[in-house]
Amino acid sequence: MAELLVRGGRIFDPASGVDLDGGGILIQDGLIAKLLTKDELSSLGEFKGEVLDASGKLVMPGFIDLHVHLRTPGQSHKETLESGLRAAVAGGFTAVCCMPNTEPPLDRPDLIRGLIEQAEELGLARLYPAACISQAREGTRPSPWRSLLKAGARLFTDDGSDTADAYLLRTALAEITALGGTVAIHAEEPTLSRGGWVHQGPVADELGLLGIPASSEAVAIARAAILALETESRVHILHLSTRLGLKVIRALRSLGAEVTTEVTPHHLLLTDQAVRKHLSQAKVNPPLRERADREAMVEGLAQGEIEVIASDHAPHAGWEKEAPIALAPFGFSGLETSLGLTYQLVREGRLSLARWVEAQTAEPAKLLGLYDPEQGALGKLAPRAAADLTIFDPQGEWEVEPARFYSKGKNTPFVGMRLTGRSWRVVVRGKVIIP
Amino acid sequence: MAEASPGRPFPKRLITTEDLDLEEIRRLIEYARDLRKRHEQGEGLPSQAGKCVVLWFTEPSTRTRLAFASALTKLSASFIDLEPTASSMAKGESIAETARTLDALGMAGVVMRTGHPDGPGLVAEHFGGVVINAGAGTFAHPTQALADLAAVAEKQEVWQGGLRMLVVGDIVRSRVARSTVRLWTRLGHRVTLAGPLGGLPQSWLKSPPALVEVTTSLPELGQFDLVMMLRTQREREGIPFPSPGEFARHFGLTRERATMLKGDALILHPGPYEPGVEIDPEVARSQRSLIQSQVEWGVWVRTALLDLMLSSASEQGGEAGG
Ligand SMILES: [Zn+2]
Repeated sequence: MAELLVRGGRIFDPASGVDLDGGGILIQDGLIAKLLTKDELSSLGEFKGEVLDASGKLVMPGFIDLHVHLRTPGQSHKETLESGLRAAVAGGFTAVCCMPNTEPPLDRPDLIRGLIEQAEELGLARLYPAACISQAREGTRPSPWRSLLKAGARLFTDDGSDTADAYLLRTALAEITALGGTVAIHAEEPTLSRGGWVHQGPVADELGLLGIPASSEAVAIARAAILALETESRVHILHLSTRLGLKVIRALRSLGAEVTTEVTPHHLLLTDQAVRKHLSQAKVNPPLRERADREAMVEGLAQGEIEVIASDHAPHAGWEKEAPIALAPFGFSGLETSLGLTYQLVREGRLSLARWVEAQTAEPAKLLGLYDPEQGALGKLAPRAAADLTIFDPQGEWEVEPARFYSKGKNTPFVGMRLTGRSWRVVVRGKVIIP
Repeated sequence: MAEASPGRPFPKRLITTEDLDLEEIRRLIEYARDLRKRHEQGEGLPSQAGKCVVLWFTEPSTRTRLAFASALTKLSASFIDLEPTASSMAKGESIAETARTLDALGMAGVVMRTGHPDGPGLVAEHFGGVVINAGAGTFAHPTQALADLAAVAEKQEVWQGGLRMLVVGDIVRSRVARSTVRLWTRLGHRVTLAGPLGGLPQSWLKSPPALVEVTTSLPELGQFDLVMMLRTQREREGIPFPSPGEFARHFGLTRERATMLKGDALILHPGPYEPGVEIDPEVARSQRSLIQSQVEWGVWVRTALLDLMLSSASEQGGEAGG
């Protein structure tokens, strides 16, 4: 017997070819039991279980944020697992992949297992912890890849920085890919970024700020992609920010390299001009780039050259971001603004609704190896797939008010922005989850 | 002519020269002149007695600190040195926190010299009184640029625009260069920046700001009315910059190169200079050099600025922000 019926609204999963206006979804045992057309819905008769009326809403596969920092363990003044996963639910995500630059870093199987267990107890969004490529993220010795995979790690990265030793990265690419995991890199060549704070461009030159050139990213992408090409493996480039980086990806793909990439809402919507007003609040790595870079990111996402949208949610305590730009940490809160922000591109007609959905459902699910199982797959609306849904109100108007975030990170350069379109409800494992 | 006395409102923040409109800049320079003349004629100077200004210097500075101290002494104001090593900042107290403390203590003003480009702006967010940027990282050094303007104004017409200025050396790491570019182009003058490529703002090579030209070789000197030489900021973050000898050979203002200057061309240097590197000591002391005058005007412009700002701020009352 079905437990939950989501009815009305537009049931939409472009990757599976599902688009049912006024249809419904029957959910049982945490899985999708059946997708219903409008006609099937009206001939269903009386339904005994819980009914969620989603009229006027978009009902989509649960959105997955492939790149978040939940600061657990060790940095609970910035975020806890609970505050971060509440923020995920509030932001419209049913699953998140958290980065391993914690204290200690996630380079041990017991840490990975512990996080997964804690998240299951919380019963909010699903959690997929990424593991370190190198021990302690020091970039020199391999972390125990096989044990980490066994413990549940699906993505491997030293995010926060690049993997220093190229031979280690080369080995990681070959071995982790062969074992079914995904290797992801934070593409940054430290001898080019040289401790910079913002993008090296007109704003940095005018304000006398230490700049990070676009080549810092592009050189690192080339390095990783060449290693992936040589070892016949795959690499995922985290938070792409430059048009030069995108050109390098194109070039290496044309040589046969298997490269996927992602872009953040802030690189899609802001440029380094935001640094003028927001200074430390707009300090993020990779930095906000120039207008032409931003245009290339939007275009690349629209064309599918950039597969994934990920928030790079990077919460910090208020006092940490109050520091001068040289000392303030990189990053800001993103989970609760991501959907509303990127949906503006759909409203402006620059991004199709289909791409917007795929980039946060099917694509990240594939990278996590969660898209294909016959039962319990993520990122799709299909019988026997997980009953994870993101229900979005395309008309909902709201203002970005960081004080109301569930996240402990209350900093964002989008503060005060008025947006149309926001997450309405999420369903995880067949249950409506309230943050 | 500008009103000699303060009285009309004047901004209480000087983070960059853009915080003053052109009328205020002119009023400031003329007031500095007026104060200097009154002083030289043995007349009394205005008094800001009873007000206390904090000199918050976290980077070594002799001449700028001395100029502000001297200006405050002339105005009978008191001042306190905030020594970063002795203060709680050494214990990790933040700029914002210290600024809030100074605000609570009722200080009339803060004069800040810091390695942080956004330091004075951050102080202004949390401190309600007068805030003056006395040099912030590689961002801006507005009082230096204003003192330079006063020094040149004594010799040349600066208010009609049209002068050609050459700035040579380590531009990208120079707050003086940035403030100079901002101020002089706003006044309608053309500024040429010259130096080795590593020391130039990279994006300006392709698209420089309005009225600015950027070149990687020393241009024909005879076309300039003003030539400013800059010291190499070796203490700041590393960029590939030639050795002092290599720089001197290709960009230094040698005695020989100085002979190529126009008859009435003036030489500026924000000091301190490295003799024989960017400028020959004899050229630095020559008739056309304004280096001494820049120091003198440095005191008078800061005296005028503090008097205008402190008077205006005490009338407006203090509130942080803006
Ligand atoms: Zn990263």
